[in-house]
Amino acid sequence: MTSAAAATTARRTARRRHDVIIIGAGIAGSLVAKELGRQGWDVLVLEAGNGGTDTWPGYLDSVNTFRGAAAKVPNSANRPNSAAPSPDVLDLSPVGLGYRAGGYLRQNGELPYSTDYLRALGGTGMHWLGATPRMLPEDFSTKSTWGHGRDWPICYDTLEPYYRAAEREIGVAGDVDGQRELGHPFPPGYTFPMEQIPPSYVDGICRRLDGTKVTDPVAKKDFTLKVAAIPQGRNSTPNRRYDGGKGYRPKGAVGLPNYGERCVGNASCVPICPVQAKWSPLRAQAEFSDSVSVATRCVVTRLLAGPDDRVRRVEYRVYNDPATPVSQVQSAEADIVVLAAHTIENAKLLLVSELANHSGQVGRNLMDHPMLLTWALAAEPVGPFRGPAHTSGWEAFRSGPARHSRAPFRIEIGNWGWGWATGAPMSNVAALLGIGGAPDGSVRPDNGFRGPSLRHALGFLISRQIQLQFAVEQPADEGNRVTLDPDYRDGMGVPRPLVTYNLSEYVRNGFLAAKAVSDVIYRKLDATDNSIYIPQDGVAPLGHFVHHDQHFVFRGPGHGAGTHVMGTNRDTSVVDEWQRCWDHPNLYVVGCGSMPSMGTSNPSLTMAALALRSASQIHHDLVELHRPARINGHRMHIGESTVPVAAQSYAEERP
Amino acid sequence: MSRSRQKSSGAQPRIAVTAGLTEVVPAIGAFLRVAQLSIEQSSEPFPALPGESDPPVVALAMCQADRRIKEVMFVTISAADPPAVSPKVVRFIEYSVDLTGFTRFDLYATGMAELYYDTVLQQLGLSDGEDLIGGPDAGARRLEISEATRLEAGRAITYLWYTGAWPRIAPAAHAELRRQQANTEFVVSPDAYTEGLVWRAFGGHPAGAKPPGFGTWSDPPSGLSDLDEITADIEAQRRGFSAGTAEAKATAAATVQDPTAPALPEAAEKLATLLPGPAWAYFVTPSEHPLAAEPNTLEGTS
Repeated sequence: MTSAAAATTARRTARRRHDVIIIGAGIAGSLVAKELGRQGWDVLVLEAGNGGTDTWPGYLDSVNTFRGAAAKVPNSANRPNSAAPSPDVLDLSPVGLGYRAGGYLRQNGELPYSTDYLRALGGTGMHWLGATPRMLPEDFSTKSTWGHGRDWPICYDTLEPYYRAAEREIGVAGDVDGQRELGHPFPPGYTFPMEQIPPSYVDGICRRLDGTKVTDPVAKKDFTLKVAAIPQGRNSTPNRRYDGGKGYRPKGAVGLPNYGERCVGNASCVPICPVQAKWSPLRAQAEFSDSVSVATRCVVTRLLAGPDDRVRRVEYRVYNDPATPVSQVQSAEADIVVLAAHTIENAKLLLVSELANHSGQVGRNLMDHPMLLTWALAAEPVGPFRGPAHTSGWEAFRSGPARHSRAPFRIEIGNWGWGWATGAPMSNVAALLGIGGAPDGSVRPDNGFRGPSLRHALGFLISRQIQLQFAVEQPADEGNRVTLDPDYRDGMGVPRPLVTYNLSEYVRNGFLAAKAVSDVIYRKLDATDNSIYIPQDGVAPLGHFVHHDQHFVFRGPGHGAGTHVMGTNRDTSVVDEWQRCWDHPNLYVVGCGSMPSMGTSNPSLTMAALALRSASQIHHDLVELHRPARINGHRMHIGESTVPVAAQSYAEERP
Repeated sequence: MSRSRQKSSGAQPRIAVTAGLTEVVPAIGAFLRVAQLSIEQSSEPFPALPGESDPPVVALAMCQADRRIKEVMFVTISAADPPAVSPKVVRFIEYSVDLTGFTRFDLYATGMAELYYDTVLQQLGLSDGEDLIGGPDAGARRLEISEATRLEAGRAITYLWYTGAWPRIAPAAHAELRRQQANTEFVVSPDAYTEGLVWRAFGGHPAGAKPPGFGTWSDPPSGLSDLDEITADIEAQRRGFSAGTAEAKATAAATVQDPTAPALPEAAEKLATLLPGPAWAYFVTPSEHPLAAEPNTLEGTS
């Protein structure tokens, strides 16, 4: 949809009544819209950000924007949008031992919330990595099992059919047997839609450590290293055995028919996959039925509820020029409203609208996967900066009784050298040249590396780079929260989100164990650890903290969650197991914000599964609303649901 | 146009009439138009390249209605033949070969030579006929700056070739150059990023471009040239030999290595102090990354 068309749609759809209004065209919103459109419901999707990437020239423009960006951050493929600003990791800067948060997201926590998101067609799903591990069964009950965080109202088995539906939708490539070994139950005979993405050369080097015993000094437990591949949402070789032998037909690029292929190894999944081998919400949008309209550049400012607690109206502002947020107010009505605008935006809109907060939990329990990065020089070339960002990891530290004493973590074996940790390989050039001057501003003296010796040394230093990424679980904690900052408003006059964030003792213990494991791995690999987190010249790196006299720095991978947490009780949670607000029977709030815990799994697949589960319930609600009369006094029970069509084939095949 | 510059040995005409020419008549037409245009507009005398005595030659192709070439005529153009690549860019390339350790061919192959030359002129505030090295026979004045700033400017040019971006330079050098621009890093063009030499230096491909294909990341990485091979390649091409020829090999054998060049991995200790460290902010432009401090030791945990 072009921008001009988007504006037209916005005007055309204004003041109309729809079956469903979905706020946000990211992963969750797009999947709900596709599913409801398929059922024939009239759906309006309001997207705050720009469109354009759904055409091939528009997508190439994003690729060029990324290539031309000086700092290749996750949002770098998108131009700034002052009408619908996105938080950017570039907004944060260190001040002494603290930090300062500029930009869209206000912050006042002890530690900076270090994660961005994207307000544009496709949402943050435009720069997700594409890692699609399921959560472990024990991740659904962290409170009752390990005494940390919150329990889910549903268990793994309840979500399992929807995991399969999400894997079909995304076209997951992976090896089911490998995942079973890690403790993920699958129905017998199940395969992923596509064969596993080949592991990287670095993975092979790390596999030499298979069988090595490592002692976790925090939990005082022994673990055995074994490299395991991760399922991924990027095109691979279709699996002929999928779906009982029906196979799977991969989907290609959006806007360019017959293009789109298997992952060709561009090694830039984040910020952008130039060939669209990685799944994005654009693919779901390309399959919207005619009953779904998408309107971009429509910033929702408020939801209005009637006296019966049903949400009556959605108010939004339409703008045409992202550089100057001049806008018109519009509103639209629907039987059911679905808020799918991202963890922080969902909380912001609920708080602005003063809705759904009987429990007082709206905006609370903000989570991420705080990441510890460690980096080292291997004794031999490892072929970095090739393939997807990571293809394998060490999984042993994700589960088990060690979770009593420290947060679990998943170890990603990085395929992109020291890129995330230090800005390599470009920063290697700068460092070896000594460009930029000494701290006092003077020109650094000649170090002798020039011409052939420079080229040779760079080859030596970059070809040996290994980086490990430890994704540490952060349990739900009411103190980590999103509120509103009425003193600071965005271009639409909406108060900006104010984030208060910290890492608990339990999470910090996870970092302690992670670094100890990293030390052992590098020693066994005969690699030289170059990780450094110490403040220098009185300035601490962003995300710096000290735990048990050890310095650490954490990073954010963009896994925001928890701000409209689901639960079994309207007094302690915001939404029920269907992601429907306890307080408003026709308001669904979908996305990672509903998750009471994320475990150590990248959350997009779980979010997609939840969205598909909600879509089936929304369909039921709509059927119920449109039923002309009661028949024999029987009405469908409100909690009743069925499995979506995508998952039904399994249910039928396997009793 | 650049075709007339590709050959570097002296005896043959600079425009090679290649096989398959008869099938690309439209291309010939375009070429001739360019050549004529250049002749009319140029006022610069054609500079003699070292070792070249023959004047350049232009090929005129006569074709008929069936689009097949019937006759090829070689026209010798004397004295006022325009250079295909401006001599200033040629000088810039020669200087860049010294800085980067990549051959002239490698640098031209990026397609970025003129864009980078213009960028350097703008960023350093060089006026016409001025450059960093100067010299009596170069026809260029040497920019009057301190040696420290000259060193930093050379680093910036090297960084430009390696990354496609102009870096943030030392504030002292920035001040001495009295630059009008903000002292921040910027990518010269999206294509410049994909032509960065740093990816080639370690046998890779630019992230987000020139992908090597499905599953290739499982293969062992390509081997890298050692210091002698890099130096010999450059020297051979500088003397006009194609890589791999007998002459090039003889040149390589006779090349005297720069005795001051640090050898690897003997220089590993020195290199450890020349690694990038973590940025203070989560993401900064690469040229703003601080150097790593002393690497952490591995003692302690087990």
